[in-house]
Amino acid sequence: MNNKKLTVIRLVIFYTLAILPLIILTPIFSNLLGEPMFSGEAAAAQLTQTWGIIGMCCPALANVLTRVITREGLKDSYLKLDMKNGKWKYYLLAFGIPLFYMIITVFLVLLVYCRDAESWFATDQIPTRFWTYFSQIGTTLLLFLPFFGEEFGWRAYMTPKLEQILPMPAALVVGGILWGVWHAPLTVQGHNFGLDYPGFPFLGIFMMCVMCTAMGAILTLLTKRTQSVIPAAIMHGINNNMSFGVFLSMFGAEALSEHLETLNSPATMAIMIIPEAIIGAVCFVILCRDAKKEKAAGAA
Amino acid sequence: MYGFLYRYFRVMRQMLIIFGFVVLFTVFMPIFQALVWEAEELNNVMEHDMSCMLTYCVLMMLSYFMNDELHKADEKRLPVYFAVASPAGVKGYVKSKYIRTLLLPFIAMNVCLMTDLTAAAILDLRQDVNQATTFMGIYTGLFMMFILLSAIELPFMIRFGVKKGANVKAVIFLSILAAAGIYFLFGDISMFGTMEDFIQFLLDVMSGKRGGTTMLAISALMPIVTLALYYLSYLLSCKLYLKGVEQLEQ
Repeated sequence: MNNKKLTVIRLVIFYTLAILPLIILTPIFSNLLGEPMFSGEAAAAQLTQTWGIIGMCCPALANVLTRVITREGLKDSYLKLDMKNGKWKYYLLAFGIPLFYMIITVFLVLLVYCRDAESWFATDQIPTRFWTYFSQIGTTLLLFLPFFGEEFGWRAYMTPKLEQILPMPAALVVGGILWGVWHAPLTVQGHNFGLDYPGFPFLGIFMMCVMCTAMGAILTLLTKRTQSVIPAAIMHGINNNMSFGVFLSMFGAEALSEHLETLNSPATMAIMIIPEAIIGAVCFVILCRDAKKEKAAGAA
Repeated sequence: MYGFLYRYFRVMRQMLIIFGFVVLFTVFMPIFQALVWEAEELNNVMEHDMSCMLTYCVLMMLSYFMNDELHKADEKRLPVYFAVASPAGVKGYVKSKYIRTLLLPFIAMNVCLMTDLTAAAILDLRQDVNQATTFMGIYTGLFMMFILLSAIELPFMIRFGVKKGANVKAVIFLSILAAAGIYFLFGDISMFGTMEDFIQFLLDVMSGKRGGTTMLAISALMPIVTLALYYLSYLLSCKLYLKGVEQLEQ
């Protein structure tokens, strides 16, 4: 069997193992609850959180199982913890990038949609709100496993394998789409975009693919530059725990949150993705340029 | 470095099997309780909460104290010479020591997290409400405490040997006990009145209802400070390692 064919087989096994638990178990849990998992009902909250955390570990398990099934071994596992040769900068970027595009997103959404709102930010209990939000950094560092679980699957296994069979730009786009589609069983249950937007659920799945392609490029850059998935896992954690939604739930005025809930349109979703997509595009270009250089060096 | 970690698992395999059994018990107990438990009385709730808390504490403590055995095994001449002569060198060896010290408490914390959330989800499903308590504050708090203790004791162990390192640990524990003793003598101990008061106190601390903004700020900064100290401790240990080897030779 040639190498390319073997890589494709490995990718198929990996992706099947990663997505299968979500496809099978998410509808079962939804059935148990008698409502979509992300409906916001109190009884669903704990199960949703638990399934979110366990589900995020599926790609890591898929990585390990695929290596065992196809007797691949543990080489190129991207588990180094090395801050030498300027690699520490990427660890700092892992914290900084998501916070940067989150702040830009907040201002963009406020300027476009909420210029006429009476009040933007909650003015009471500012220290409490600040420390609660800040504590998400610690939460990310301590409860690191779910984010590591995803990155150990997508960045340490899927992306390098895709790079072996596709040129870099295609590998990043296909990787983003596969990652976005992996979220589909949850998107159908209202994850990230809710349940009542036009084009539900297909638009949500499409938006997720765009978001995952953009974020995938940033995470792949961090992984490649450090040869480790740890910064990518940190960035993923900060992105999830300190996201636009979390920021607004802590600092936004009640009227603003209510106003934003009524704006659940595709345009709002697109505006929320723009800052992340721009940074993703920059990383995309850098990765393609690096790949070209590597190819030229290999040919020489 | 992976070689050092592999050696660790080989040396510790019997202890790791015992650890595995305790992990299984920790997973089984709260989930089994959540499946069969009937919350008719307040006492039942308290008993359930208390037994979950104790189970998580036992696993976390075991994960920390198991490292002591390995530190003793490290102090023989052969591993020391091997570490100095290996391609990973002193830094690789010390790094592996720090990673493995973190590894078991990290695994234990995540086992507790998954079990805790699963048990709470089962309880919520059974009762059709969102009121089951999770104990995240307990095991994450213990994890941070263990990292902090390790960050302090490891440089001492590396420089002066395991015995003196153990003495440092004893001094820290005695200081904590002394501080607790002083608090019991002069502080507010109303929360220890009844078991219900005590559990309520713990739950309030965990949810940030007690202590206000200061407590919130401390709990927000604690993980970052602790991990930074652990990294600084590693850098210090790298510098002290060869001096420690010289002392072992004498």
